[in-house]
Amino acid sequence: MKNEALLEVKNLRTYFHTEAGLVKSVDGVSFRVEKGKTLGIVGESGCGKSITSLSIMQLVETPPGKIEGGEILFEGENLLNKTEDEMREIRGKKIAMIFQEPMTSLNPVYTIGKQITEALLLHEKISKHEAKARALEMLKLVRIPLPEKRFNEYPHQLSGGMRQRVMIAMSLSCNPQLLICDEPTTALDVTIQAQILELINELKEKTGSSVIMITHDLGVISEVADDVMVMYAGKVVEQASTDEIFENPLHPYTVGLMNCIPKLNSDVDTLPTIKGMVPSFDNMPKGCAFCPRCSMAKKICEQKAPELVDVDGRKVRCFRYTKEWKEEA
Amino acid sequence: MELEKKTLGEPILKVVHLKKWFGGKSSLFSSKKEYIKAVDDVSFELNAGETLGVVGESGCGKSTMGRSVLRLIEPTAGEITFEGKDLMKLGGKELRKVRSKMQIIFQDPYASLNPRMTIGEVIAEPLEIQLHLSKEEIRNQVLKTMETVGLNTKYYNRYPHEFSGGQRQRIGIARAIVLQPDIIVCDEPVSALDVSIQAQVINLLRELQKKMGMAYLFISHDLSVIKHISDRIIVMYLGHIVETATKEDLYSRPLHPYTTALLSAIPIPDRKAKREKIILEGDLPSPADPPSGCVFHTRCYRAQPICSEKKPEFKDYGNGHCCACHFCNCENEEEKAE
Repeated sequence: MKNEALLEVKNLRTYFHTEAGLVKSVDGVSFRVEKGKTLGIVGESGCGKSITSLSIMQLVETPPGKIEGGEILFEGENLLNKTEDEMREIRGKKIAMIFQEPMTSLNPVYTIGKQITEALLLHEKISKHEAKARALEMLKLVRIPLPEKRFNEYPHQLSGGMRQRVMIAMSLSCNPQLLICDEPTTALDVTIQAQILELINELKEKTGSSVIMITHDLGVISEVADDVMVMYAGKVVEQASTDEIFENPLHPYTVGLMNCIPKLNSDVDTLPTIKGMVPSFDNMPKGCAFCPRCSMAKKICEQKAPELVDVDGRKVRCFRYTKEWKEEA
Repeated sequence: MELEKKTLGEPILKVVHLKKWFGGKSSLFSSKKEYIKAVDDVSFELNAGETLGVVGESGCGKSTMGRSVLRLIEPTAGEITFEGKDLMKLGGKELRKVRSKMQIIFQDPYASLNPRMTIGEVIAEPLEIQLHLSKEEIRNQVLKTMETVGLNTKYYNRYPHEFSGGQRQRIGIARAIVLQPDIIVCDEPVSALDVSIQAQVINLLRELQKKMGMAYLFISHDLSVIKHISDRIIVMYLGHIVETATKEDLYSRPLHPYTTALLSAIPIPDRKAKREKIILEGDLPSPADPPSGCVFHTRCYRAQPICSEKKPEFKDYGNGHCCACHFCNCENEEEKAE
C-alpha cells in the first residue's frame, strides 16, 4: 500500500506560445509526492524541470506561457481551480520555493529581517514583535551566526552560502508542507553545498515536510531523494525509487547520464558520452525525442513516440520494454 | 622538430613566488594600505604535455592565478619562466610572441566570443596577429582546425549566437589550439555545460592533448572532473597552495584537512558508497583580512593554538606530495607511531 500523497500532478501540460512557434515545455507530466518524502527531478537545461515546479506554484509568466491542461492536486484539491487570491494564501505558507540564485532572489533594498517577517505577517495573525522573534528563531535554525546582527543587514553584506540559508529560513518560516528546491546548491561551493544539503535533510526530518529537489546533479539526487523522475524534452522518461534507479537504470538516457559523469572511484581513459545534443523545440524528432542520440535506437523509435510503460512497478518511456521491440527483432 | 625540444615531462613553465594583490587603497583614517591578496606567494612547475589541475572554491584565487601566469592580469610580484625566459621582464612585441605559445580557454562560451565576428574570423584572428600568412593559408588552417575540434566546416560563416553552449566551447578551443601552443590555461572550461555535453568536451581536450602534446593548466571547482583529467593537482585556499600531489596520491591519501573535507563533501552518484562527511563550519574568510597563521585555521576541525600563531611550512612528504599544515594526516601518523 502506498503512502498518502501530499501532491499529485496528473498529465500536466505547460506550453509557451512564442513568435517562433509553440514550445511544449512540459508535456503530459504526472507524478506524486508522498508526505515526508523527497522527490528528485533530474534533467539537463531545457528539459522542463523548472517549468514543472513553476507550474505547481502557478508562477509561469502568462503570456507567453500557459498551463494548457492537467491537474495539480495538493491535499486533494486542484490548484488549477484556485483563484489568484487563494493561490497567494498557499504560496509561501503551504508550498514554499527556494531558487537557484540566492543573489537575485532576495530583494537588495530590504533588510534580511524585513524580508523574512514579510511572509510571516502576511500569512499568520501575529504581531510585528512576535514575527521578529520567529524570524530570529529561523535564522538560528539555519545556523546563521549572530542572527540579531544579520537581521538588520542587507543581502549584499552576506556571502552566497549565507544568502541561501536566509532563503531557506524565509521559505520555512511558515512551516510549509511542501518545499520546492530548484537547483538550491548549483551556485554554491562543495563545502557550502554539503552544509545546505545537510540542513534541508535535517529540517525535513524535524518538520515532516515533503521536498521536491530539482537538479542536474545525480550526486545530489543520490544523497537526498527517495524517488527520482528523469525528464527529457518536456516528458518524463523514467520514474523509480532512488535505489532502483542507481542500481539498474532502464532508460538509455538515464544510463547515458550516469555513465558520462567522471567518477571518483573509477578511472577511465575516455568518458562514455551521449552523442549530439538536446533537440530544439522547432526540430523535435517525430518519434522518440531521444532517438537521434540513442545508441540502441531501432526503426520503430524513429516512427512512433513511445508511451510511459510499467516495468516491474517502475515507469519508463522506451520501446525496449514493449512487445513491439521484440517483434522488430 | 618542434616536439624535439620539449621532451615530455620536463618543466616548461616555472612559477616562483607569484603574487597578485588587488586594491591598495588607503582608508580615510589611516595611511595603512589595504590589499586583497587574491594570489599570495604561489610557486609551481608545469611539465610539458601534462595536465596540472588547480582546484579550490570560489574566491580561492585559482582564476586570478591562471590569468596572472599569462600576464593577462599584471602580477604584483614573482617570476614566471617559460622556455628559459622570464615573462615578467618581457614587454610589447616579445611578450606577444611568447603568448602565441600560451593560450587560454574561458569558462563562459557565451561571453568569450565576439558576437559580431563569424566563426571563421574568430578562429583566424590569432593567426592574423601572430603569423604572416596569405588569406588562402589562413583559411585552410582555420578549416583544418575546425575539423580537428569536431565543428562542421560549413559553419565557417556563421555567428556565435547560432550555436549551442557545447559547440561554442569547441569554437573557443579551436581558437586556442590554432597556433599550436605549448600551454593552454583552461579556466573552468566545462562548468557552464550540461553533463552530457561536458563529457564530450572533456574527451575532446584529452584527445587534442594526445595529438598535439601541449600542457594544460586546468582550473576547476569540480573535483570529479579534476580527478578525471589531471596528472598532478594543486589545491588552493584563500590565495595559497595548501597541497600538491599526483592525482593518485591526492585522492587516496589527502594530507591537508581542507583537502580531506573537500573530498568528503562531494556528492557521489552511488547509493552504496556511504561515507562519513566532514562538514566545514562557516564560509571562506575575506581575502582582504586573511586569518593569521594558517589561513585555514578558522574553519579547521583540527586547529590548535599554534595554527593561529604560526604559518605552517610547505613541506614535501615524499613523491612530490607537499602540504602546508601543522597537523596534516602524515604528521598524525608519525605521532601515532611514536
